[in-house]
Amino acid sequence: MSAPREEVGARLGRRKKWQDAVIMTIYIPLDLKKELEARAAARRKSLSEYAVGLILKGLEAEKETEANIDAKAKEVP
Amino acid sequence: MPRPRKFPDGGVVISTYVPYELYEKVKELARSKGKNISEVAYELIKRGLEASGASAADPPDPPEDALHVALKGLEPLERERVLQFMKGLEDAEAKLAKLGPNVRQARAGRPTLLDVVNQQEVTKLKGTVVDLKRTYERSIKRIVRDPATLNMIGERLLRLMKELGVPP
Repeated sequence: MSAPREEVGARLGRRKKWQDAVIMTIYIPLDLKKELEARAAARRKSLSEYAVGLILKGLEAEKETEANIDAKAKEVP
Repeated sequence: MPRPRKFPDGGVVISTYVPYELYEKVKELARSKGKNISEVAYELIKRGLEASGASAADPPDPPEDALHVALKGLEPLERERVLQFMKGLEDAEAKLAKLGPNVRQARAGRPTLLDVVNQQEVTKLKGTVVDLKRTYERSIKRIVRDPATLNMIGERLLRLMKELGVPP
């Protein structure tokens, strides 16, 4: 987090939208960034918006994997 | 001895604005895995890309393709006119998307400077859409003979008009 949440919202001039948002910095390979930029542009989204969508999808996938592991663990006597 | 590069082909830092709850979830996951937030976020992005699979691949824009096919048979001047109209339509759509749903309608209470500026933008955009509608009725309907393409253009214009409250 590089700034308090309120400041982030105020600085962007979109307090309502970003009121509960924080800046997260992610270190990724250069080619992945280029790919994400291209995909985001194709969907008319910003890189940030698109990345957040992918993180959410990734979290869902992570939850599913965990649920599968738990289910398998229960099956084992 | 310098630390080996994490990404041999070079890495970059991207900044993302994430909802606080999501940030907390990622933070929690990172803590449970004993990794830092950036590493976990990178893994989640990769998983997200994998999860979306083939659908994540850049979708071809079928309406646009259909448009270009329909434009092939037109006179250069007419084609230019349709392309200009489409550019205007896309610009208006992009501006509308940028304004967001909250600013499209005037809020109750005393307006802030930002509200006033946004309302001016909306008014300007409404004017642009009215012009587009006029061009559509006067020229585009006559020029574009393919009914499917004309329908696609009309639908996009109608959606814009509906969003902005421009009467049909």
